[in-house]
Amino acid sequence: MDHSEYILDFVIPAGKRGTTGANGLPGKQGPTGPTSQEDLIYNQYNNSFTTGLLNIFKTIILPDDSLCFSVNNNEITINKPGNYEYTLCGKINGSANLNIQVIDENSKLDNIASISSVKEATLFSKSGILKITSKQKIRLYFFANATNANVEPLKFIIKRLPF
Amino acid sequence: MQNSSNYTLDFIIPIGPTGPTGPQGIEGITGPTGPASLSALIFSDFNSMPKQGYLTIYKNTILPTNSPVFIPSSDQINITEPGNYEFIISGTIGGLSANEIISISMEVQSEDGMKYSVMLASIVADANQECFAQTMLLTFEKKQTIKLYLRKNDIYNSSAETVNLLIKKLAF
Repeated sequence: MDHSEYILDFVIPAGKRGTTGANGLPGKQGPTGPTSQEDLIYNQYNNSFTTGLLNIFKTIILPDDSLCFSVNNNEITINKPGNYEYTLCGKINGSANLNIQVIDENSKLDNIASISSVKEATLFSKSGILKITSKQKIRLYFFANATNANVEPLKFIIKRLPF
Repeated sequence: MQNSSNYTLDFIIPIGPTGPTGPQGIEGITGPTGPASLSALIFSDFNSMPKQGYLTIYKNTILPTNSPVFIPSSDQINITEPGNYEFIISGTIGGLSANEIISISMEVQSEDGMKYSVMLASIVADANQECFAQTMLLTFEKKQTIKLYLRKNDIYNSSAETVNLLIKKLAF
């Protein structure tokens, strides 16, 4: 300093750092999920000339790890409640009847569909809807009403519906 | 600034730096459920029909139960939405007489009055009983009415039996 000039020399610190900002906006909605799968079971049955349960000789369950269905020699078990669509098709020769039987957890048996043949060769296809409220077994029962009556290998597909 | 006796000190104090970015926002809401390949279906059981005419419905199952797509009445099913539909029909014609001529067809009528028939089975009987089954895919651009018609000579004792119709509205 001299007598006519003054120097002001100081440091003005910057203000303190601001507080953390508010949370950002929520993210965008996720993408649409994949198409729903409908578990299914496809069985081929052995032919038969005798009255009784038809035996399964080939089974395909999709997807591979589906818990909806299990199968043994002559019965399909539907393990999950829900609505199911079925189609049974094949050929019956001679006088005979074929029943689609359902057995519930209390061993109550119900014939949900029946196909009858009165002639040499009956080609048929039968579809329907099953409402399953508890574990159920499904099987095919063949009644041969005449000596040479028989059923050729049948195909039976059951699909779990998405509603 | 200066006047004769007072001095004003005028300066700017800079503000502090911007604070750190806030934390990430919360996760977005879950996306919608993926589509199913089916939107709705109706499964109808028809009464036995021993005479020429329209088959009447004995029982319907509609899924989902509150679906507005299908409105059945005594002898027809109304389809209320345009779309692609899979039809699966099966049944038996029993009590046939030798050489009897009989047929069963599906009549499709649009809300604008256009109508056509789809032949399901046309039989010249050589046995007491015949089974039939058909699967088809139909595309509708308008509302439709579906009926099943049995054509026969009523002097014969044949009848359409255990006729089922499954109609599925596809999701594509």
